[in-house]
Amino acid sequence: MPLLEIRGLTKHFGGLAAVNNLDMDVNKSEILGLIGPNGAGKTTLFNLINGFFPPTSGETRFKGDVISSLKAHEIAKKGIGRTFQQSVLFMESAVLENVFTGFHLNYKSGLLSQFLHTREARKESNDIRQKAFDILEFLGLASLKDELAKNLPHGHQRVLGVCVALACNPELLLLDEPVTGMNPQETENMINIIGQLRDRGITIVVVEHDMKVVMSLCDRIVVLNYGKIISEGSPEDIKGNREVIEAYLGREGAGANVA
Amino acid sequence: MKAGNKIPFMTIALILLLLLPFIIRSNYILHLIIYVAIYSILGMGFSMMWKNRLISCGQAGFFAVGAYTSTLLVTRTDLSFWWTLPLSGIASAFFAFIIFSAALRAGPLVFFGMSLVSSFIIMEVLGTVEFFGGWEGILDIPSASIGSFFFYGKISNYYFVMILLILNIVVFYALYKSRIGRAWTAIGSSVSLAEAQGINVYRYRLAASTIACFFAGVVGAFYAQYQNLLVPNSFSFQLSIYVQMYALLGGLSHFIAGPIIGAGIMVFLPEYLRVANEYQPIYFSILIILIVIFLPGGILSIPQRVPWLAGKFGKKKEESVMVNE
Repeated sequence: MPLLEIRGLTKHFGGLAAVNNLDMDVNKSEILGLIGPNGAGKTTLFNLINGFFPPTSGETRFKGDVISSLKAHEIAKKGIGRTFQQSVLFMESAVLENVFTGFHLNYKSGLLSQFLHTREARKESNDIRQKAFDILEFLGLASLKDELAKNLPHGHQRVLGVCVALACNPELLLLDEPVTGMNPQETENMINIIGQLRDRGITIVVVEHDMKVVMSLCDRIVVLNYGKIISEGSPEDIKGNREVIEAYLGREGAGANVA
Repeated sequence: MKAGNKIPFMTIALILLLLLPFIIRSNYILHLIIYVAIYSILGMGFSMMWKNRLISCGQAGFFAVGAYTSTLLVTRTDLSFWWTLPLSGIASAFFAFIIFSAALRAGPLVFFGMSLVSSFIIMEVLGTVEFFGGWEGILDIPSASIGSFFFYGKISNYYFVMILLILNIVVFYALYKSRIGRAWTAIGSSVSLAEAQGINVYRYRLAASTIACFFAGVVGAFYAQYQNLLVPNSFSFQLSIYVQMYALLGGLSHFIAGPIIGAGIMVFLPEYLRVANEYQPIYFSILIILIVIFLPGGILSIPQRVPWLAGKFGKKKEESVMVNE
């Protein structure tokens, strides 16, 4: 059984079908690349999977349970984490505090003991703070833990975004353009990180425009255009696919499938 | 540790608060301090909602609900004031819960509108419905009493309101330090990221508004027995706006100290500048415009903006200045 099954998923914004009757599977422990020209519906698909928008029709199943009727915070609880296209962080908080806040779902102690700062609650906080620090160490941000998020360079902010997403213990991680705007060294670092996450058993779906990154990183690639899958396969298959090249280069006559 | 540094400071502040009535010896100034405390509690409630990026324009309304609940229970039934004190908080919180559980489903903008409208409706209802005493208000409200001791004078009421204020500070502080507070901070900095991390934004926002209105209601009960009379017009929309100004003037990112400093300045400054009462709204408006333009972080952001001050007041400020540069 695939980890995530998408069946007939459709999202209309007014008359525009941003995602149109889409069927897709994500298998456990793979890195799935999601590519396509601007406006192809990649980010909309992420927002549908993670519950920011309710779909117009169709459903998504995660580990067999229907999740398309759930709210974003409930889907996070099921084990789907995500990062954002822009650096969306708790900007005014310190780096460690960002990840610590992300651990919201991991508390076991009740609200009352939290409020009264009982010994268990304090111990739990300390444990979680340690876990947050471990994540930073794992992704190489430990030395910056007291810096405010807004003062980090772009590359580090993107990595911190991944750290925060990891705090809700995701089994499936949706990465929206993780290397956009990065210099080659930062990109290299991010590719390593994504590989390491997969080695830890996290399934990853990545939206990315940088073809080199997508080709070297992904096990499988899905190409979207106008909210539909136009091609699917291994990086080698995609490289030579005529339809994909047309979608990107906008060859005359390629516009025919608009209708 | 940080806590170690705070304890002596806290003790000194507490002793000072305890001795203040004997240092000041002016009933009028004590009266003003009591008002600062009332406004601080209302302002901290506003700040708690603001932490969730909710703007409440209705703190005066919830303050009124508390004041009237206590007064009606005391004058129409045999209930002791001390029972009505928590009850008025509960009434106010219940009221807030009903209104905001609907409003928050539609988002922060509707929350803003509903808080504004509810404040107007509450005042209008209190004024027009005979049961609540009408526009002339309710007179001769008995002061609170313990045995044969009555809270008549300024000094006893000063201690009463200070206990409420300290209780409020302690509860808010504990909340902000807990994971509830962290969830609020998360919501305040990015709603979508908070949701993606599994925070139920709706529920946390509703909790913040309910808690804030609970304390507004409690201090309303205090206000009723302190003034011994209630007039609907004293809970006008203007008060709600003033409450926001206190929080803004003190500093919107200081959720506890901000409203206290702001209320202190706005209550005492006119006294020393001898501004006529009728010019106050103009003068306050100008002050707020100047603050927004030149000091958007409020009074409490001054140490951060002036580096040599930062060196003198607290190391924490100094750090953040360095980080900013």
